[in-house]
Order: sequence, then C-alpha cells, then structure tokens
Amino acid sequence: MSLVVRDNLPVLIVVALLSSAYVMPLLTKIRRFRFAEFFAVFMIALALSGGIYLGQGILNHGSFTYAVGGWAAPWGIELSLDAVSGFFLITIGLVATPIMLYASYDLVAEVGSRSRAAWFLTLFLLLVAALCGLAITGDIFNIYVMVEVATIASCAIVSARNDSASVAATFKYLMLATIGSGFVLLGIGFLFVLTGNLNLNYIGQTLRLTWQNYPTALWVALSFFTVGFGVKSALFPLHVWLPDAHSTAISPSSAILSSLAIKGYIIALLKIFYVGVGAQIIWELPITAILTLLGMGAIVAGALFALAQDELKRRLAFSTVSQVGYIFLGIGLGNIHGLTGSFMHILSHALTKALLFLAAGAMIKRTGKTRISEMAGIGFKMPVTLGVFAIGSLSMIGIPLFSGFVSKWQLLLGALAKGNYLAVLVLVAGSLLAAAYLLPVLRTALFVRPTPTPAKDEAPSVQLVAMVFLAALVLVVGVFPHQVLQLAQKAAATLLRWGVL
Amino acid sequence: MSIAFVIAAILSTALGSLAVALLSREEKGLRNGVVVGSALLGMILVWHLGFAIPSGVYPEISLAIASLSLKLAVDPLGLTYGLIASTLWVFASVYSIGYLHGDDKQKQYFTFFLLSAGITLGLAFSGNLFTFYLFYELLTFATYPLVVHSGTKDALQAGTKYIKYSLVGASFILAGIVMLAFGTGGILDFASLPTALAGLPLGRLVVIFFLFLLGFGVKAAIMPLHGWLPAAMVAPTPVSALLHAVAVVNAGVFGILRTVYSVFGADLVQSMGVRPFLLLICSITILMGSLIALRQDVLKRRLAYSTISQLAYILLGAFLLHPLALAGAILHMIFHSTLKIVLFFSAGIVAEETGYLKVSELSGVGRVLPLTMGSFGLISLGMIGMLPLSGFWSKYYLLRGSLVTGSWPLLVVLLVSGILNAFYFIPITVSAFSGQSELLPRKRTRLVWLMLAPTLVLAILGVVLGLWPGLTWPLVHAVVNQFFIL
Repeated sequence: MSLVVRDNLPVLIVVALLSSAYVMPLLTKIRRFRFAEFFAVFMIALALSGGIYLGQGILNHGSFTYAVGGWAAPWGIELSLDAVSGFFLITIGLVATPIMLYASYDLVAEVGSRSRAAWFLTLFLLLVAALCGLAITGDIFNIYVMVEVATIASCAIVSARNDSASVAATFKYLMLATIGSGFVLLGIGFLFVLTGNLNLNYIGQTLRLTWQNYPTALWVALSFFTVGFGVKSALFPLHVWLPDAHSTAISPSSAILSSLAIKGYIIALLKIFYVGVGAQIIWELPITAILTLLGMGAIVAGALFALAQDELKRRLAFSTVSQVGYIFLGIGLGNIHGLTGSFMHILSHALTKALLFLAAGAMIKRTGKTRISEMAGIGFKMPVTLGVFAIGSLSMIGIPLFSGFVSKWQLLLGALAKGNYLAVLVLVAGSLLAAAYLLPVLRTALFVRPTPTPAKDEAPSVQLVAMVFLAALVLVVGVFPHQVLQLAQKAAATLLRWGVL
Repeated sequence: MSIAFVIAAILSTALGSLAVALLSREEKGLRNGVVVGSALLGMILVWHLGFAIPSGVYPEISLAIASLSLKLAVDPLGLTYGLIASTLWVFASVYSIGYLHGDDKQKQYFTFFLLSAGITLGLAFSGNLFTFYLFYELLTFATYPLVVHSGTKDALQAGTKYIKYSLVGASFILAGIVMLAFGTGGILDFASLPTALAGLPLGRLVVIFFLFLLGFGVKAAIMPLHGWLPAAMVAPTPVSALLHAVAVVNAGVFGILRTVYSVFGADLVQSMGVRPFLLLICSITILMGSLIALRQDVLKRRLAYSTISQLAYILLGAFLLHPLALAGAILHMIFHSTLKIVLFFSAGIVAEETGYLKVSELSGVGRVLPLTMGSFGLISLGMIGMLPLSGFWSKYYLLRGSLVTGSWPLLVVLLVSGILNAFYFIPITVSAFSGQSELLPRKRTRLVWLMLAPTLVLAILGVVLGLWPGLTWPLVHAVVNQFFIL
C-alpha cells in the first residue's frame, strides 16, 4: 500500500486535493462545520508533507517523470518532478496551511453564511490543487487546464463575501484574467502548430532543431505568453485588476491570492520559457531584456503606488505589484543567480506577504480601522500581531536574517553578473521604497500612543498560531537558508541546463 | 575558547533585553537589576577579552548563513570599539535609571537599550563585512525606538529622518558589499580582504570605496550627511549621550576605519589617490561643525555639532594613513567618547533639575548645581584639548601625524578648530558660575544621584587618562601594529 502511495505520490497530491475539494459541501452537511475546516487544513498539510518528501527525494536523487495513467509521453500526460516542482510544492504547502488555519477561525462570519463558507473551502482547495498541478505538470495543455482552474477559483474566492466592492473587483479581475487566458491559449496554439507536441520536453527538443526556420512565429508565441501570464500574475503595467481584487477580498483570500496564486502563473511561464523553449533560444530573442525592463518598472511603480495608499490592504496589494517585479527581474536576468533569486523570492514573498495580509486582517478585524493613519497605538492593543507584522516588514525591506535578504542578495549578484548596474540601483531603491511604505505603519501603530493607552486585545489564538508560524518561517529561511537555497539553486540550474542540453 | 566570551557578551545583553521585555511593567526593581547586571556582565566579558591583547592571539568563529558566512572575530580595532561601548553602556544604564524615574515607558526603553548594546557588541566583533553590515543595519532599527521615546511629533519626525538617512546609507553599503563579493568571488573576511582586492581594477575599487564612505559617513555624521544627528537630539538625554556621542556615531567611524584599514588596506587607499579629497572633507566638517556649534543656543544641539566636528578629527587621523595619525585617531575615539558622554550627562542633569535647555539660560546655574557644572567645565577643557585632560593627547598625536605626513594645512585646521572649541565651551562654564540666578536649590524628586554618580566617575576618568595616557597604550599600540608594520 505504502509503496503504491509513494510511487504515485505526484498525482495523488493533486487528486487528493481535488477530490477533497468536491467533498467539502457534502462534508459540511453531514458533519460539524469545524470538522470540515480542519479536514481542509489537514489535506493541505498532507500535501505539504508530500511536497517535502518529493523535494527531499529530488534534492538527493535528482528529478524524474511520472506518466499519468501509465500512458507514456508524448501521448499521455507527463508530470515532470524536478527541483522546480519540489520547490513550488513546498512553498504552496508552507503558505497555504497557515492561511487555511487562520481562515478556519471565523470563516462563516466572514463570508456571511454556512453554505458560502462551504463553497469557500471548496474553492480554496481547488486553487491549491491547481497550483500543485502547475508545479508538477510537464504538459503544456495541462498547464492551460490548471491555469483556468486556478483563475476561476481565485475569481470566486475574491467575491466570497458577496458585497458590492468585492463583486465589482471580481468582475474586473474575471474580464482581464479571461483575456489573459485567451493569450495563453493562443500561445499554446502557436507552439503546438510549430512543434506538433504538447509535452514540454518534446517541444523543447523540436524547437532546438527548427526554431530558426520561423523565429517570428516563435517570437509572437512568446509575446502571447508574456502578456497572458503577465496579466494573470499582475506584471506592471498589466496589474490593474490586482489592487481592487486583493484588497476587497477577505484577508485569508488576499493572503493566498497575493502570496501563491500569482506565483503559479509565474511558474507556468518559467516552465514554458525555459523547459519548453529553452534558455538559449530565449536569450537570442529580446524577451529577456523586455522582462528585465518590465520587472524594474514594476518594482519602482508598484512601490510608488503603494506609497500613495492610506488603506492598509491596498498598500499591501500594490506592494505585491512591486515584489512581483523582483521575480520578473530575476527571470529577465536569466542567469543562475537571477533565477535562484526569483525562486527564493517566490518563497520569501509568499511567506512574507501572507504574513502581512493575515496580520493586517487581524488588525482590521479587531479595530474596524482600515486606514493606516487611523491605526495609532494598535501595537499596544495587539503586540504579537504587530510584532509579526514588523518581522514581515523587515523581511520585505530585505534586512539580513530575514528571508527577503536571501533573495535580494541573489538578485543583486545576478544583476552584477549580467553587468546590469541599473538593476542593482533599482533593487536597492526598491528595498528603500519598501521601507518607505511599510515602516510608517509600524511607526503609527507602535510609537504613536493614544491617550488613554488601549487595553490589550489580541487576535484569537488560532490566528496567532498561523501568523507566528509564518513569522518563524521567515526567520528560519533568513537565518538558515541553506536547504531551501540549495533547492532553489537546483531549480534554477534545472531550467538552465535543460536549455543548454 | 575565548570566542565563547564574545558570544556570551553579545548574548548577556541581548538576553537581558529579552528578560526586560518579558518582565511585567511594574517590576521596576528587578528590571533595573537586570539592566545594570547584564550591561555589567557584558562589560566584564569584553574586558576579559581585552586582556588577551598582549598575547596577540585572537579568536574567531564562523557560521554559514544565506550563502554568506556570519563570522565573529576579535581584533584590536574591534576590541577598542567594544571596550568603549560596553564600558560606557554600564554608566549610561545607571544614568538612565535615574533619568527615566517615573517615566511610564521604561520597559520599552530598556528593552531596546539592552538590545542595542548586544548589537553594538556584535558590530564590534564582526569578522567579515556581511556580519558588519548585518549588525549595522540592525543597530538602526534597535535604536529607533530610543530616539522616538517621547512619542511627540518632533520625536517621530526626528526618528523618521534618522531612519531615512540610515537606510539610504546602508543601501550604499549593501551595493558596495555585493560589488566587492562579486569581484572577490565571495571573500568578505576582514583578515583576507586587502590581499583579495589586489587584482581588481582600480576604478571599480574607487567606486566601492565611495559607496562605503557614503554609507558609513551617515552614522559618522560627515558633512553633508550629518542632518539626522542634530535632529535626533529630541531623544532622552542618556540616548543622546550614549548613542549620539558614543555607540551609533562611533559605529559609523568604526565602519570607515574598517573600510580603510581592514577592507582596502592603507596601501591600496594610498594608491587610489583619494586621500586629498578625504582630508578636505574632514577639514570642512571639522571647521563647519565648530562654526555651527558656536551659533547654537540649545545646549544639546551645540554638543551635537561639536560631536560632528570631533568625529571628523578621528576620520582625519584615519585618512592620513600614517601610524602616528592612526594612533591619534584611536586615542581620539576613546577620549572623545568618554569626554562627550560627560557633557551630555551634565546637560541632562541641568535640563531635568532646572528645565533649562538653552545656553543663554544657564547663567548662575553652576551655583545651584556645582558638581554638575563643575564636571561640565572641567571636561569641556578636554574637548578643547587642554592638559591635564585626556583630549590633549589625542590631538597631540593627530598634530604629529599631520606634520610627519607633511600636511601642514591640517595643523591650521586643528588649531583653529581648537580655538573655536574654546569659544563655544568656555563661556558656558564662565556664565554658569559667575552669573546671577533666580533658581533656589530644589528638593530633588528624581533619583538625581544615579545621574550624578556616573557623571562624576567619568569626569575623574577623563583626568586620570589625561595624566596617565599610557594606560591606553597597549590597545592603541596593538591597533597600529595590526595595520602598519612598524
């Protein structure tokens, strides 16, 4: 039995999450709601342990492929389990588990009714399943399916509360995301016509021999992917949907959307670019230069927009636009340090932004204040929440000992290796801007003291556990990054070597 | 095994900070005990390391982190900074207990007060640039709550200014470090850096050097990067005394000393041809600082500008790249810290006892507070550079250093600044003792003796070091030996 589980672990992770997603509404009918919530937490934690197991295996024994249903590639769907998948699976598990735990405290009250809450659980699990699918799939059409599942689930999660603001935001999101999907599908169509394959490895092999016959067509395909995934992962200037969607959703939704959902599309983009098309071809085309420029634009513009916001969650949402820029900048740099930096930033930003959104949610819930300028003295009321918020802020700024520094350092090295001093400047300026938009929150909350001093009124302990868990991870990754950094390096090497092969 | 002492010294203060944070707000006695106890323990441990100097064997330890290694190491230069900071921290902790008596935010204050001590010691014993940068950055965040302690609008504004200056400075340092690491293939150890840099193109080295100078120059308050320091005078006086005359500003100076001597090495800095420019900047800062100090009426601001000027003396000694001048710089780092803290302590006592903050109000105060103003007057002679106070000796070595290297214009700068010092210090003492005052000796509500005792002890120390400057010689000699083959 255990052997069967182990051998089929990759597909089981996705299948288990998908099936438990559909069981949720039923489960809430026959059992207590709390049971369903904890079942969801349990399933995600199970996926996490599966991811860690796979990641360890990949780190020790190298990558492998898994043919779904025993149908070998190129006919069947192939899952390719490499360091990229291992890294992203672990990221998903580490972040989604505490978010679900946090959400479980008052989900029904947050979304309005029991049945909506049940659907929220379903959607949440669907989203996690789709992200896991994106992490492990090696098939371009499979990518499209997972992207669609993730998109629909994220849109629905935004409107979980069903108030006018979030529904309007959802509509905006849905429109743009659908346009993005259209572009992705067009790109997939191009690649299929060019190569006759849907399997990424086979596409890569074919393109390597033939791409010079039709560089323009390939260039168009890559542009479609860039725009399509760019919209979905909120690459500046295609980010317009994100601030509304992420700031109007309930806090656990904001957390998972900002920290994980958009990263899934980036992983898909990475797979198509580096596995499907290959590093050498990518470098011949101007696409990396464009991604570098867009990344740098995103870092600066996102941070400037964030500075202009007074509403805490909107500020955090714009911060995501800025931080996604770091990831795209790393992809654009395209060397080992740059890609390692991108992977580390996918993890680091996921942990940090989830932490910040959850802490912000707890503050807003307790005080009813959504604007930073009104938050004077919240630190005296909720010291632990503000403490973890401070940890998240320092990590976002990129102070050593916090996870954000690890990725920033790699990106800086990548920029220098490329001789791109402008990128060095932007990276350094980006963290200063992050300080400029995050530290005022701490200053107002911790050092402006209202009279009388508010009494302690901390967030509920389940939510505190979730936040402290994330904060601890931020510190652990920051202080002992060795293992994850190795995995990230291996993921970057995988992408680059496949290109060279 | 003596590296254990380094770790123990850092931990004793850091854990002290944690203990204060965990103690309840009401347990004042226990808290005060923890504060003084852990500061004292830290000091004893650092002094114990100090006695390792004659043996010339220095311990080190490394830990891998972030693909960069975290390394603690003891060397004479680091010991100098560590000894100054850890010793004065004990005095400042006693003074703080007296000063903050009755304040309702003592818990927050002492938590960060001890945390800053731990970070400062970490900075002192950093064995490579990355570790140095780490503690330098953390120091900014740990000291911010102390600067904004009062929570008033002014304090918050000053704090924001401080954070802005420091973070921008630290970004320059980070950019420099990453360029250095990229050039040397990841070598950031102070012990092996000067040789590792030998092959790099000179142009890039100059860029890196100026990145470091800009970064550390913020905390060292080189003009025009000094703007945060006078603003930060809104902080409680023990904070101004300890951080803005000793720990934080010396962290900047220490960073520049490290840059010149441990990162690049005197020979490389010499061959980069930046020396005249550096000396010019220092001279301007020395003179401008003194001139501006002359026009300040608020006593603490006058002291702040005096600090800006005096820190540039240390840098001047460092940039002369000569053993005698370096000896002068190290001596001045020790003596300026021990003297300036007394001036701040006295100013704090005056402000708390009389409510007077301005120089123009101080007339006659010496009759009410003879010991306080007496220490102030005595120690200000040391700042001017008069015997029998320690300040004379450091200036003497700086003068000798500039003569030996043939930079006689600096002689003029130092002498003119000395005269300016006299102009802005002596009238304070004179009017304090000669003028008329409506003040009557008051009933002392605060624990004023807790503030007075450290002031007096340090004032006596200033005289002792002035009469027997040889007490500091083993340390200074070791530092000079470390960087110059004599």
